[in-house]
Amino acid sequence: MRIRSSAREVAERWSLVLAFLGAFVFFAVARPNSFLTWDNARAILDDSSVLCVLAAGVTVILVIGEFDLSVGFVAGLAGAAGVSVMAFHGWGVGAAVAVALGAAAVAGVASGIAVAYVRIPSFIATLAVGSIAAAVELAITKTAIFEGLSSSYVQIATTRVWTIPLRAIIAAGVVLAFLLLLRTTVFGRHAAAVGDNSAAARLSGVPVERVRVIAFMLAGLAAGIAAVLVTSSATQYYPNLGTGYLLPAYAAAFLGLSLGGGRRFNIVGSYIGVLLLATVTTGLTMMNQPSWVAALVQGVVLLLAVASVSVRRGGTIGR
Amino acid sequence: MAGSAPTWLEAVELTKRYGGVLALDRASVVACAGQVHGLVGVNGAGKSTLVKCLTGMVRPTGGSVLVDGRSLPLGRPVDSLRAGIASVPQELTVAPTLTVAENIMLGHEPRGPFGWVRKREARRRAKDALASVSLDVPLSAPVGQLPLIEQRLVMIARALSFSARLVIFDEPTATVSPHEAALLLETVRSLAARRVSVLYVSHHLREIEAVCDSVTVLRDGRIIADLERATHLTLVDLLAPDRVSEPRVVREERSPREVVLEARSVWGPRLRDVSLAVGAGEIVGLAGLAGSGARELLLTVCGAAPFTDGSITLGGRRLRSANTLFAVESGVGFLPGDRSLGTFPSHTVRHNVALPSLSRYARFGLVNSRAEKSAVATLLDRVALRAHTEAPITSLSGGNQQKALVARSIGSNPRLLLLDDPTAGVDVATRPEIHAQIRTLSDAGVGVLLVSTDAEELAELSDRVVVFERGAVTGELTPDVMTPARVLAAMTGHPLPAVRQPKEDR
Repeated sequence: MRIRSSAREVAERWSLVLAFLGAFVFFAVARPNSFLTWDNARAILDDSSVLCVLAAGVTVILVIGEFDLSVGFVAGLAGAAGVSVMAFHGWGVGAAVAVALGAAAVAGVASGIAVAYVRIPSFIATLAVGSIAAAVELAITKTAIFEGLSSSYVQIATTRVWTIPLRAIIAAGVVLAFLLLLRTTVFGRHAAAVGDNSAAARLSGVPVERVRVIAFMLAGLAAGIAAVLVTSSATQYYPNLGTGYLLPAYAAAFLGLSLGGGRRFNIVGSYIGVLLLATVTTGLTMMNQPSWVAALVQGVVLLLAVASVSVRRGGTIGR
Repeated sequence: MAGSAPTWLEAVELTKRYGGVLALDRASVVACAGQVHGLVGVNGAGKSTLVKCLTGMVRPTGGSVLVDGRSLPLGRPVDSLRAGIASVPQELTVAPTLTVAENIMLGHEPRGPFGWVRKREARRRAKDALASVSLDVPLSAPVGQLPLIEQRLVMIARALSFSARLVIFDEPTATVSPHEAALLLETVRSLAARRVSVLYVSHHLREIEAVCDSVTVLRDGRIIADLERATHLTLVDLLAPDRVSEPRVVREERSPREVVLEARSVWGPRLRDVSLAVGAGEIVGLAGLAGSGARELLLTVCGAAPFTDGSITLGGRRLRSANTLFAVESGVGFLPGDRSLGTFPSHTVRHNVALPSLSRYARFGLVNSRAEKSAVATLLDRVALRAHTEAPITSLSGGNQQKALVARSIGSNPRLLLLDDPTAGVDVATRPEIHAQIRTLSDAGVGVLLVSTDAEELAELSDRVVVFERGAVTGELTPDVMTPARVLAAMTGHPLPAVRQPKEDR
């Protein structure tokens, strides 16, 4: 027996890739001299690296059928924790990164426990954890801005490997790691099963609670990595550095849904979703459009993408 | 619904086709004022479809409904309600935080200017409706805080508040105590006394006998009998054959059997002092209607429901209350017929089948997909399922999805297999294949607990059948008296010793 799929299904499945290519071609024709350059491609990769990492974390949460609204706040907390141990205690770069990732992972585990064991709906649990994370962040930094971070810390973002920014390579590495995690490991399969049918997963012997906690920890970890990338490239820490990333991270993941047949959130889809958003933003900026146009186009694209999937599925998304 | 009472509603040759399946095939019923009409049939016989055609939840493919000689527009709940057809659903569909009055008047509140609700008028009408079911509860009490039986009476009052001329009851006594069931039957009779027509859908044949003036029996979407005054055993005869259609496999007795599962005096929310043992290679059938405790025991053993007292031991390990993971790790496999509890609809056949046994194909947490694929292919072969391992599970027919789940059960190497209506919704051809697989597993020493709403299935597969009623074990049928008809009689509450004389010649 062969797996049959209609031409329409194929078209729908690849609609995201087509949209990305379409946007790329559009801007390449409109601004051949500035858009279609190696510098620009590099800039898009570089600019989107933070979002890539956050979107990968968010995708894991969506795969288990939950929401994590705390990722932006957790990134802020992680940035504050990492930078402040360097500034206040003179710790090294490695230790600072470890502290940042540790703080983010702890926040993720807290959300995970609240969702998995206390059974608080993830939507509200992660709002609460996010609020606490934001509070702790401000308590650590007293709303100060830390400038003049050590050059070795800044190099995390600015180093170039064969002209490619290290930041983009790290982001690609994280995306690849999450991809392999979801695709090839027992955890990945368990996570997908929990998201698809948690009752059946439980009856199949999947440790549902543990899977949920690990997923939230991974999302926290991703937020921590994102925080390191943000602070090192900005060469400074500023309060609430992660708040602007929440919406585009979810937008990217939902754009990627079409690549999973409209049912499965997937890392590759989220990654292409991020690239699409970054391309549109960059391209519109090059065409001298005001920044609200980019936000408008992103919103419309997201609505269309999700609506097409939703209509086909009879009104349910990602379930 | 014959008799002298005037007929005011006629459903004529209602037909409903879902894809290639005829769920309802030219079924006609009539409603007469003040008459209680029963509707019986095994699961999937078309009862719910018929009810949904009448209430407008489903638009029939063919046929018509005449109310006072005029044709009723079909497929629109509003029109059915206006014509006086109201139903009391099986599941409680009250809005628990709203008050009694608000629940009764929900959707047909008397309106004042600017869309205001005329509260006094609403309360007066709600009060009238409550009086007609003789229920005395405060109109302003939140419905969710009332006992279940009163919630159900509120729903009946709600049905009546639409000036209903036909009230449809769908399995109204499934989850209530005997006393409450009696109360509900009393309410049904009082409705009839007020010239309301009642359509009473139930598996409880004893209740049908007690309360119905006439009965329609459905099988495979078709009406096979229209009876005046049916007795419990007449209905059993119509619903279940005397013999099993699959020849019983005579199996050699293993002695002494190693005990796989032992439940001792288990108490739970819906279980009362249940004791039961399953030996290795033994198939124990559990017979009982919804809420009887049969299915509840299954869910308790696999950790999906809690127990409060007593003990459950599986292969020497004492199971913990409401701990599914522990139960599965101790060797419990679960095969539901309700595929919403079994399949992962967004996933491939391979992912669906391999899930419980993933650790066997994995090293350091990494799944070896080649080993997994070949193992899944072998399992699919064993259940004679010709399907691509990478096909989406939802691309398979219902019967083939069920085969895939059987393959999953086999792959997980259970010591005890729990079957919950394992062939529900499965086509006629696939059913014996699934049964054969279950027998094969049992021959290999797996203990099996089988819950089924299908008396024939229980009689075909079980080594013995344990009968449940209202949460407790009320008896046991041994193979020599295990005809489908007897199993059905027992599971619908016929006293066990008085089961009719065996007709078979052995």
